[in-house]
Amino acid sequence: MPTMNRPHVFRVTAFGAGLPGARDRAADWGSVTAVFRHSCHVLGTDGRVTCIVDRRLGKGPVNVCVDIPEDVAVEDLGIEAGTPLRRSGDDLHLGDGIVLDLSGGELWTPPPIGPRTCTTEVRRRARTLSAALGPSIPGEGLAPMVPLAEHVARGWTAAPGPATPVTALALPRARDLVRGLVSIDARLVETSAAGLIGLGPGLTPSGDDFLAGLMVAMSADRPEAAGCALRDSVLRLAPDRTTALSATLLAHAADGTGSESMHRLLAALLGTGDQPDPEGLARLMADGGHTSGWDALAGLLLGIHLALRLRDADGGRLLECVGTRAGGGR
Amino acid sequence: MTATNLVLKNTYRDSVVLMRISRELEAMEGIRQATALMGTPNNKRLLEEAGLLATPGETATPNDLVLALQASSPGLEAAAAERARHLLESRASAGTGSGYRPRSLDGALEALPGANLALISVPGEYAAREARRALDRGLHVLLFSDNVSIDDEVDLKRRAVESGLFMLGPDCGTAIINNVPLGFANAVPRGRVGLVAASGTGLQQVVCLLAAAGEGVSQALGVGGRDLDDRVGGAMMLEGLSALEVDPQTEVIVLISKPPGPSTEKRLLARLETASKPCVACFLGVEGGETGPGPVSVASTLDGAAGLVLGKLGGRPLSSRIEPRVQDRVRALAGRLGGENGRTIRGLYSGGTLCYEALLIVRGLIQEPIASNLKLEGVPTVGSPSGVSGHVLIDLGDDRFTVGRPHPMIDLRQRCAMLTTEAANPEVGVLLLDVVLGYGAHADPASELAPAIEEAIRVASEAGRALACVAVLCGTDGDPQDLGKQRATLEAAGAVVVSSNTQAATIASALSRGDLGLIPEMSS
Repeated sequence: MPTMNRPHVFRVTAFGAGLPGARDRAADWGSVTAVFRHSCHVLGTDGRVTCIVDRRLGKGPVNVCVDIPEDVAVEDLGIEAGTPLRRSGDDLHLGDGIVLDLSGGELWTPPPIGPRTCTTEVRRRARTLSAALGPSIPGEGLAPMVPLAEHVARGWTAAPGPATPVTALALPRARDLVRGLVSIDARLVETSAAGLIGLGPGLTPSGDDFLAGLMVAMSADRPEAAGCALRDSVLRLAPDRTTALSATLLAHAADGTGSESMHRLLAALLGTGDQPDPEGLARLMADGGHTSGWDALAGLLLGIHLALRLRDADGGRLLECVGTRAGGGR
Repeated sequence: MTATNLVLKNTYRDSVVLMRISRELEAMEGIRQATALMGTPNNKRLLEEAGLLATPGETATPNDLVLALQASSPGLEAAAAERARHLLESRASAGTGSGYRPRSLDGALEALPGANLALISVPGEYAAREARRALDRGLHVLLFSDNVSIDDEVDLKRRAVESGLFMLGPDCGTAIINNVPLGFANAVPRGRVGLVAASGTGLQQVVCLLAAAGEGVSQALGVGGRDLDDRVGGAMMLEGLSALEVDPQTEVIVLISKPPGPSTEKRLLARLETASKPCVACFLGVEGGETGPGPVSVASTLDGAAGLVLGKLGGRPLSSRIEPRVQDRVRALAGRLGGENGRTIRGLYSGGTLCYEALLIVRGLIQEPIASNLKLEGVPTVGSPSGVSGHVLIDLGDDRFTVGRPHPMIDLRQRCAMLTTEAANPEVGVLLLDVVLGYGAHADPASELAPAIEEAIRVASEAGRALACVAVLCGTDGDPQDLGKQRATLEAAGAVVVSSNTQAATIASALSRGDLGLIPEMSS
């Protein structure tokens, strides 16, 4: 067990894109705000959050993945709220007792999906996935919106009714968001996004996870359209309307980066060739957090179906127009 | 009625912890609602619409945690708020305060140096390493966790055998060791029957049937569902058998499993031939059915295994007769299920082995297509009963139903919802389910299932159909849920309740076929 007298060195195996910028800054980097069994959160002086995690929790844009020994849990390291994080060369120092050695860590960014399969096949895979997940979808957060993704994306109104107080609020806002994106109405996009940000249970509220999944999926489908009205609205609104961790994750999602599990699922849905089973990957993704994984999955499936709808409409031009109009409107 | 808010500035807790605290508060008498949310503008609006926002909550910021609750009286609100604060603080300080709670194996051993068994329940990716560490420290292991690779299981069990230790699991949910229940286990008397099982609910069913006949348990060891896979080779079942042979309190040994791998089955049966005590091997569905009364008997059902054990002990026979009042209820239902009424069976099980046994029985009796999410030769695999035509039996303990939620023996909500959904299907005439009592299971399952059963019957009735609900109630008089009350509540809701899974599956089959002659007690 590490002690205050003998600093214990842990090897960083990978870190997300959120870290390198912070490494350029001076020594005081931020302080711990929360400690969990396998991770701790550090609020940087720029207001962004970094998560120091046991590498088994997986890679992500804000994750610093640490090779934790078998007999140590993060919460047993003597770290507590307020513990400072400082940089010194290639090392990060958590208080006086913990050193994180960055020298061997690799920068993780989502791998490119490569050649895409046809829209018919993407739709088939997404529908098959929703049907397969159906019986196991929990009735909490925005998980009940998983089977509604195609209904919402296509503007159908015959979808089953909302199942929880959170979905009762979120569903009409998601419908408005889709209408705003399809009709190139930046104001409607902004008001509906505002209605979803910070909505629901969790340290990353359900509405945020949902929006993150939506933005990452749309960005994966059309990387060139990442700068859409939704992205602008989220970047502007999130810092004041949700938790610091969630706002940080949304900023990365707006740039098209989500968790490793999210990108693996997207590759399995969008890629050509011999792809792994989307259901298994979706379950891995859904297993993250109490409802966060399911919330993000609901957004991801909406993003897939919405991108398909926009492609059907006019070869994808609409999606790019959303970004153009929104950017010019401010 | 007013709301009370507790605002904790810049406070972050794991969402699973928050959910548990909410539920714990809602379980307090007089508390109508309780929830914990971050203080974002949208969440404050959500609380306001639910009548849960009070002045302190209005001032919360997105990085503040808001605990909101509503009680039937102001005094109760204050008590609940105090309870909430205590729960949050106790969780925050666990392991550092005076009430020391070890968070590592070494910490636990320091607190209890004489311990010789580690019960490990951590996420699968961490489970094997924790088990290795425990074995390295000379501890027997009960590994509750699942999602451990078969390679790790083989390695762990090899290490255990080499060290003379038990490695129970992975995915071992049940054991009774020196009368101490571990995991999901029933309150049974101490007795002369020793069991080793690669099947949690299979073990529970047999000990409950034995307890009803007045027989108790010396030791009951779960070894994990894959122990009899040929890659593992029955490593722990063989160790368990050897241990029970030298246990002075054990007079009869019972082995329980789904069909073993071919080479493991041969190995086990050969080992049984040399056993020094009478043995009953229950390999569900293995051809040949019950044999006896020699020193080694083979049973193909759990009910059959219990009966053979009682025969060897020379005690009271298995009380497997279906009570006359239950028979009357079955006859009445059979009359109403005639004509154009739907007759297909929907089995919604929380116990995998009970579901597997029911699948074998129903398939054998109805001679019609049947589907399941369990793998059985000749049975099409389906993910869920939704949209499937024909008989379907589902194990709701399967991984696909438990991602992000507790086991269905603890959390009944999913099954309750499915009961109503399936009742709306005009094809469906019979619902078949298990209700497993004991330590670790839901504190009062009937209180949640009964309204769902009533609703299911009502839904069918409004559509002009009859619907039978047949339940096996697996429990003992000593179980904390009160067996009698559970039975009465389920029966009052309209269910046919029996204590044997074999009986339940047989009754369901008979009602589906419209042939009560399939039920031995009603065949004359």
